[in-house]
Amino acid sequence: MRLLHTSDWQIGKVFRFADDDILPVLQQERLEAIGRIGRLARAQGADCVVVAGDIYDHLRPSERTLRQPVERMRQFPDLRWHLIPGNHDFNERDGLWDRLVRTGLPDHIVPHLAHAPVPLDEGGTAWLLPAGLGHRHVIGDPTAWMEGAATPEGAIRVGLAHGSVRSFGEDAPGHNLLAIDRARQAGLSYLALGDWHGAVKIDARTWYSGTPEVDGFDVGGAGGGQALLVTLDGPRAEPVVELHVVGRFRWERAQAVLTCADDIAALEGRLRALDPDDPSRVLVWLAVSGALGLPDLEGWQARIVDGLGSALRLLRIDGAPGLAASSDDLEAFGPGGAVRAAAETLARQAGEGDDAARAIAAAALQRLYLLARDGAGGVA
Amino acid sequence: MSGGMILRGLEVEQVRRFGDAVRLTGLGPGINLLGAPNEFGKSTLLAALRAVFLLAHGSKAGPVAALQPYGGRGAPRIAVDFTLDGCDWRLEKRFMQRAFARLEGGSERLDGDAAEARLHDLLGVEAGRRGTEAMGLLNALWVTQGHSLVQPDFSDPARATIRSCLEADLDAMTGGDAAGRVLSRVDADLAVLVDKRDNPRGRFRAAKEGEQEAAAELARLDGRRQALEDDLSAMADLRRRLAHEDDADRREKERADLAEAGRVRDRLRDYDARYRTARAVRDHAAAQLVAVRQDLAARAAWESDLAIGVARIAELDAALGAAQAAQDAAAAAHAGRLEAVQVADAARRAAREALDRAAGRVERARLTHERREAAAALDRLEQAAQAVTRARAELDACAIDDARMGTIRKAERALDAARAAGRAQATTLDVALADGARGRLMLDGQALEDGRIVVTDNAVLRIEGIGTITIAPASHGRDALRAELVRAEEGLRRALEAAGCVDVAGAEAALAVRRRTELVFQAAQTVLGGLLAAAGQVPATATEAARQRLADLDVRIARIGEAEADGAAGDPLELLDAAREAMQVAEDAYEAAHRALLAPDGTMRRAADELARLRAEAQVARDGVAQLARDLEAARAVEADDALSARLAASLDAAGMAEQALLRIEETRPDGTEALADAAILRLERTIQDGHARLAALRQEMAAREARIRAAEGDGLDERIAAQERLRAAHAAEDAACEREVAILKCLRDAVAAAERAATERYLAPLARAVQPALSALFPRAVATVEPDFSISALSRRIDEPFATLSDGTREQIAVLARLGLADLMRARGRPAMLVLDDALTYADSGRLDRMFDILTEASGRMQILILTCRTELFTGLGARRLAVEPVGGQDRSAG
Repeated sequence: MRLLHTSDWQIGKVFRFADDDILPVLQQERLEAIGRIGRLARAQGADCVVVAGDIYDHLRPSERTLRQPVERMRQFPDLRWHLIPGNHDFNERDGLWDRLVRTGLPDHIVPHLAHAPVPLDEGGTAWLLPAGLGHRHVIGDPTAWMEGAATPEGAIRVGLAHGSVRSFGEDAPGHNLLAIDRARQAGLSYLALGDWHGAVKIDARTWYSGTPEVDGFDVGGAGGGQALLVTLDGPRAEPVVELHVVGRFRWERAQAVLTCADDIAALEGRLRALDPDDPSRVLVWLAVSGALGLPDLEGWQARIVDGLGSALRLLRIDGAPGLAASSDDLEAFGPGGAVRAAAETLARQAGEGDDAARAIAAAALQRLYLLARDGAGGVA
Repeated sequence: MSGGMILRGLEVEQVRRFGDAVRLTGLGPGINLLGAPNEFGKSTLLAALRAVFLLAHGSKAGPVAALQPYGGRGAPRIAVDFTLDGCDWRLEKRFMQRAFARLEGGSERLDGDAAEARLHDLLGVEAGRRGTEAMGLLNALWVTQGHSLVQPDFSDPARATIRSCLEADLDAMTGGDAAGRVLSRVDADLAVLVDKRDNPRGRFRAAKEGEQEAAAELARLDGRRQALEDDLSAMADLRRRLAHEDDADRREKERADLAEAGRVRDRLRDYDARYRTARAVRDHAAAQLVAVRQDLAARAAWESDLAIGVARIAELDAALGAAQAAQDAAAAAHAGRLEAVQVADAARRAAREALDRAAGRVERARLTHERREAAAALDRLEQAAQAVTRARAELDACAIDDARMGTIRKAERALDAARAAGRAQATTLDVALADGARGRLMLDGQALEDGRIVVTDNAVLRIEGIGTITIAPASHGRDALRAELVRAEEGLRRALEAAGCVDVAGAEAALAVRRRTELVFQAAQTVLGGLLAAAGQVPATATEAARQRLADLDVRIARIGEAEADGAAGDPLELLDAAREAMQVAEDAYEAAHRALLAPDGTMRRAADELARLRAEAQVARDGVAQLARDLEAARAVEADDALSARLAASLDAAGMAEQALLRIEETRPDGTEALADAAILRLERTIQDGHARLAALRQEMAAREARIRAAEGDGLDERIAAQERLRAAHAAEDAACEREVAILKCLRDAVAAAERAATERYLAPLARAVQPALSALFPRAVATVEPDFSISALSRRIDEPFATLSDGTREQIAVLARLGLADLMRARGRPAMLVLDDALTYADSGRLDRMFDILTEASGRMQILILTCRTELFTGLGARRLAVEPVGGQDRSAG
């Protein structure tokens, strides 16, 4: 049989750094990803889609947010959508899943709220062992029950769970910690996992699908934006797993040290090359350092901050190039006069004192430069 | 004088006091002096000069209207000829009616606004607003009367002019304008973000408020989420409790428990009933047995008591006999003692009578003696009283006393005196009778004897036989003497009469008698007083009291005398003592007998009491025995002794059987008590009942919670909180950006402002330098402090002296020097410069004035200077051109 493995849709996620223009686009695209998943499954002849938790980002979404993914799935009645609660949308009593069920889900959308095997097909050749979460943090392994879960002899056992197979240090205690060899221990043909946002193969039968639409700059794994097409030829057969891109946006972290105009040009080229066809599909978090002269600072502002900032879907910048005002720069303020003297004062201030004061002085100098150049200062 | 401005002529018409056209003549380069008295119109000429250059011809505003002729309307016309940069110009303007302006020079001839514009260009001034003067440096250089003390107040264009002049002097641009533009731009940008008090406004304020609002909304949402979570938690708890309450097995068990508890209670009740019955039977049998036994015991007791009673009666009878005998003996002894008392009492009474008699005798003797004493006292009292009475009677009989005696003696002495006086004046008759002549010589009928006769009055001497001789003593005052004598004799006679005496000797004797009588009276009175002294009474009362006492004593003596008929011999006192002793003996005897009578009384009473007690006891014993006998008889009549024994045996059997039955029932006793069983039932019933109520309450609360949860969850709280957090972060970022923008702008502003200040200080140096030579000439070693607005604020000689504190003369001189320096600066930069001083330098002393003349003369080599003054004599040393004002006659006054 064939199934499509996905997880961590995180519908309704709010991106704090996104402004009012970008946020709805990012949120909308997460919904669009469902359609792409459905179409992929249909195109690849998958029988069903298993969603390994975190369909929703919030435990208490608005009614519209609650219904939106259902409506997207409703468009694929030929596919069965198997859903389990994750840590973001865990099955709280009287909570989200109860609301969802109350909305009257169509038959092909199946939430699995109990830890009990259910047949995946009418013939009962494949069984799903869903291990949704009943709390945000579950003490103990939510897949432990799978070992003792009885399924008909010779059936394909597919585990569906949400959690981490690895503890991330003391700061992140082993909540929702899954046994890394659960598939082997529980005789699973395939264990479909959710929680990690980048697609990762743990072993031949154990995979994280990652999120279908990237939602952060540090996703890990295959980087996110994929879904897994899993082919299971029998209970013993090793699953064949293919990664398919379903995401639209690309999220990149970048770093740059700027000291001259060439650096700026290089940075611009690098970032534009991320998606030359459509830079608006790219979000960049740029960490910048270095120092520039006044004209280069103007170039930085114009080419990177304003130019790339408009081209990319999002350009988030940490830091700013410092000011390294040369004597040539100061010549731009004329050979003398009050404005030139003020520029010299600011240049001096930009080179001394604490970082905050220096940054302010540098910005003031830059502003003076612009004012002078634009004629406010009447500089020759 | 290249680059300078030379005024060559000025015509005015219809300007204030100048109705007809006049012309200021004599103008030329260097110093020009118009000396004229007050009210001549010097200031009018200066006003006209300012107006033609600086006021727009079309204006009808105040400054223009002020030019109109006094007392009437008119159209002021002013024309001026001047040379500027070597080119001659003529400027003419008419104001108010048919206003016009015309500027001619070289090949140019301009009218109206074009002329004005060209003029402004030439002068380097800017058109004034609303009819005010055009603004430039010339305003400052043309000092009107009364302003010479004040330093020039520059308009903005004037400052710009000065600044550009000064900047041109520097090697590089000061950039003052550029800095000014930057500053105004920065200020404008800053004003968008903060108000004048530095409070955020616009998007800055919106960001802050937005952040606060978002935070508040977030807090509200958090509160709602917390409420929702509480509801969810409560809901979970409710569900658990509901499951517990709603458990069918549990409820079934509760019902079974209740049924079992009911059965237990029924069993307990059944046992209890049977037990109660058996115990009642047993108790009844036991009671029967007790009754029989009581009957038996009572009968035995009666018999025993009967026997005891009979024996007791016998004992009592014996005791009664003994008691009677004892009582009889006691009565006999008592009678004997009673008799002894009676005898002793008779003896005692006899002794009492004897004693009384002895006492009566003693009393009588005493009273008799007392009577004697009283009778003697009465007698003495009466005799003393009589003596006093007698003496008083004798005293009363004496008519003479010392006073009367005195009167008599005085009258006697008066008579003697009268007689002596008569004799002294009398006629003396010495008679020597012849024998026989006796009787024959008669004087006033009285026969004379031998001897001397004193005739004091007319007398008739009859000599028998011979006749009569009338003798009339020739005595002076004979009548008066006679009258005196008569009065004296009469006085003596009346005094004697009053004393009851015949003559003086008798009176003397009577007085002696009276003296003796008084002594007797006093002695008698003293005696009586002594007797009365003790009584303190008048004699009559004392006498009466003494008599009464005598009578009392007589009565008492008589009474005793009656009692003492039998007169016993012997001393009454001795007899009395013997009687007293006898009395004491009799009393003692009586006392002894009486005591003897009382002592045996106790014995007899005891005997009587014992007898009475024994009698009563015997009676009781007899009554008791009789009752017992009757009761016993009655009991036996009802149930014979045999029957009673049979009943005892039957009761014993019955009691044994009942006890056995009770024991058998007790063995079947179930566990627990009925109260416990009831409590268990009550508890179980309540549990079941409460369970229903709790179930209902739980379902109700769950429904309420569920409704609230449904209401809350539809809002998508988590999602809204996330959105709100994003909003708050966005506002915070905007706020930070605004803060940063403000900081940047302030930083920029501060830097530019500081730089501008520094630049200003630099370009002020030339002005200071321009002023300095003249200043040094006037005030040796003094340095002026020049401010950014080109005013001189202080003069530094030894110490700094602020301008305002300087003397009027010094301030005026400095003001003139400042203008001179500015004019120099302008001239040096190719600007039109010309100085007008109206009534200036009037405060200067001659030394300063000379130096000012030197300075002005020196400056006049570079620029035209026009001085208007009413004190021409002051300026004689100046060597100036003398100007005059002349009427313009017959020529065409108007260019129009």
